[in-house]
Amino acid sequence: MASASSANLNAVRETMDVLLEISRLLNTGLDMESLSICVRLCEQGINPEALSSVIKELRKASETLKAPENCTN
Amino acid sequence: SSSITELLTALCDSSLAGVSWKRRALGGVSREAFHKALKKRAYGTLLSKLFQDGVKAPATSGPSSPPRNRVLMICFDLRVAGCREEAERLEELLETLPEGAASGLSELDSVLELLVHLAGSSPPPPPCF
Repeated sequence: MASASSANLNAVRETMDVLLEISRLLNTGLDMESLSICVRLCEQGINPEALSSVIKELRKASETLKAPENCTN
Repeated sequence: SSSITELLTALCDSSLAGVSWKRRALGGVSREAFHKALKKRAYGTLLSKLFQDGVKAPATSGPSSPPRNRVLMICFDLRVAGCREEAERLEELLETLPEGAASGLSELDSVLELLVHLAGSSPPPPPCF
């Protein structure tokens, strides 16, 4: 039982590593933390297209906050 | 496992990484207020998409190709654009990616679809010297 769950954990880790590299090559802008959150949201049944719109909106909103800060630096 | 609400909050948190709140607080923007506005925006986008999905006519939506095929289409585009190494690495990774239960994830195709939708949404990393 314990070995089955650790095997599954290893499978998840390996899959996440591959997904992160695919994500980097596609220039999605996701880091491991946000990718893990997205994976869990997809597993909760959130539509991937809707989720991509949410991520783009959040980026737009936080960029407006970061922009003046970058100018002053 | 976390709820959708907790995960969306975590997504908002991660999008605010790197913002200096000390300086912001002086300008009248508090972390709490901005976080609340971000969450409102996230839910608004999510709900508007849900309603759009509801009114979509079946004839116009059509069957979409599987996400793995769409990644392969991106590989083709990369080759055409002269990025042969990236295209080959992407194909290699796609072959390495386990399918179904072997991946340990229940919604691997949805995650791939998300990556396809986000492709090119961020600038490429600066070259290393």
